[in-house]
Amino acid sequence: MAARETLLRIEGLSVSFPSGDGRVTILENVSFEVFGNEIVGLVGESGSGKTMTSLTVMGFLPPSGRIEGGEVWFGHDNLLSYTEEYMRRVRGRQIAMIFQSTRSALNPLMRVGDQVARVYRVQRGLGAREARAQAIQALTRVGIPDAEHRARAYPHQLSRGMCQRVLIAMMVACEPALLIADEPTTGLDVTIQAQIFELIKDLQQAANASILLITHDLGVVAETCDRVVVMYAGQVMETATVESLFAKPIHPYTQRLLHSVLRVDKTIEMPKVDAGLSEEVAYSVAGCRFAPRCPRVLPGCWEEHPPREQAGPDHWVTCHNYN
Amino acid sequence: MNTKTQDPVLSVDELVKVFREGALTLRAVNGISFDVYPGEAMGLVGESGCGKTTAARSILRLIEPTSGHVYFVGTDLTQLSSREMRAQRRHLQMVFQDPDTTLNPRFTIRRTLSEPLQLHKLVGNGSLEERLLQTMSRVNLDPEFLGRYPHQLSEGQKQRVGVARAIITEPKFVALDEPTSSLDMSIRIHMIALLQRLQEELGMTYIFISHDLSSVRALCNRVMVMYLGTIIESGPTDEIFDRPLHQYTRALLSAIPIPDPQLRRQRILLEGEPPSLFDVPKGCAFHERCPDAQPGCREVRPILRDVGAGHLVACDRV
Repeated sequence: MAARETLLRIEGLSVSFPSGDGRVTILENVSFEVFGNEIVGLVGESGSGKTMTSLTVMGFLPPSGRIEGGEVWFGHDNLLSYTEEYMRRVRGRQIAMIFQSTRSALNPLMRVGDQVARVYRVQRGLGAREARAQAIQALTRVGIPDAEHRARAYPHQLSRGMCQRVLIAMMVACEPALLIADEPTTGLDVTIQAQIFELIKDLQQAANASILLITHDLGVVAETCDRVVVMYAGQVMETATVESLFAKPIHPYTQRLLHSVLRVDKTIEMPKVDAGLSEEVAYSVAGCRFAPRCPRVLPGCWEEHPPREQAGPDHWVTCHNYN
Repeated sequence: MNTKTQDPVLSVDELVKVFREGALTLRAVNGISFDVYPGEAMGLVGESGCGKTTAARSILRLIEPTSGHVYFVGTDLTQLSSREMRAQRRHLQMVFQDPDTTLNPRFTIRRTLSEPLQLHKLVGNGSLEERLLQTMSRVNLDPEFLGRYPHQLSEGQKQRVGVARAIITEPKFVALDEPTSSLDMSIRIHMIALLQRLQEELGMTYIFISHDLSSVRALCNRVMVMYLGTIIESGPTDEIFDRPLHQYTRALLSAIPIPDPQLRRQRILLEGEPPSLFDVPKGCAFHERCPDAQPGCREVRPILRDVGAGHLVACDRV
């Protein structure tokens, strides 16, 4: 593989939120890269910090959140050092984000065609007539049938799948180098989900852009992504190519995750031990936060956060058991 | 599970549920018939709006069916007075999709679980506590949680309370409506394992309604696929998942991502979206999206017929 251009590099990012009388570190020492022209899956379960990571990159950290350390490099810029005004110029043109809740991301009082056209006017400085023509083209490209007619619809007149296509059309209009897609098919039926992922992949390849895809669905990761970042309780446990991760998961958390996936193509063995009582996430552990659940926990795991070690080409793991 | 020599626990006959909105009629459930035998877990799958939840609610008479019959161990539920129906409820329970909207946030778990017992006069004062502790242990929840409120529990724990509430009356039949959909993957598999264990322990019969086909594969011995208010295919689980015959079932199964990057699958991408239930097409409801549609499919509605080994399909092209 030729030298890759690093598009996004997150380095030692820690973010805390108030909790009780103290603060809880929701993200701890998060590091990973997104290279040019690839789809990276950011996977983890509820509370793993995957959405918070993307909000921090976008500069959308809620006011009670505090960055405790680390850097977010986009090209040659550390985004964390920029003002809100500058970030406004980065968002959209360079990094764009698709959120989970489709309908609330669209303006309910504005025709969808006008919403897409507005992106062309604001981001590209086009005149009204030209922006409108481009908007209809963009809606056609994302597979909205009879786009000229549908452009006059309001969001509530379209299905959720169609609304998601409208949002994707707005992203296409921005031509961002990096698209962050946070569970972009939540609430959509599987046949529509398949259409949306097919569309996202096609557009990514056509534009040579990169996508950071946030998901909890390992099936989506296996079929859509090039590389994967596995998070648990605000820590990155393992990063690898999709092939390497599924063939040779190293971290005990990754192994457990892969082992617990139900499959539609075969009947899998059910777990013997019921984990009904033990699902709370241990943010308070000083070392590896998977330690309370880990079948291979070592004395040092509780106190000391393991270093990030290379386990193969493009395969990194954060675990005291490694080596 | 060979149970067909026994009488069905539940027998649904030409069940119809129509909603009217002004001049419009919406046929949410359009004449479905099936039997569920003792100890079975019957899957009912399909995409949003296909009528699967409405079907389950009509079966349990949480909403009144428009026409058709539902026989529960021989009794036609549709003919019962509301008082008679109430008496049956301890045998017919339901677990709902979203514990946040179906558990009373102002009730402790103790109160939520005690209510069905008191309602059906199933316990004297002494045995209530015993029954609560037994049920908590059955769903693997710490008895300490009895004093807590729903917001103090995690998603997975709340859903276990939903299951506990359904099984505390020791029902014969439970309709499970998407009980795993709001759960994380590693929690989901434990929920399925729990439901499996409870079914064996208590000898219950299930209908499991879900759009999550991997959960259905893990739990159910038979499956029915619904599309726009009708059952378009049904049969033993492995048969449906490994040899689907209806084009819709094929597309639905092929759309589900499989967590194996080595697998290169041929995906059947359906064109467009399901038509509105207000405007179900004539003939086969699926013909507009079917890659294999023939002119005849536009005219005649195919009936569900047996193609061998208990595999039923509603498609004239098969």
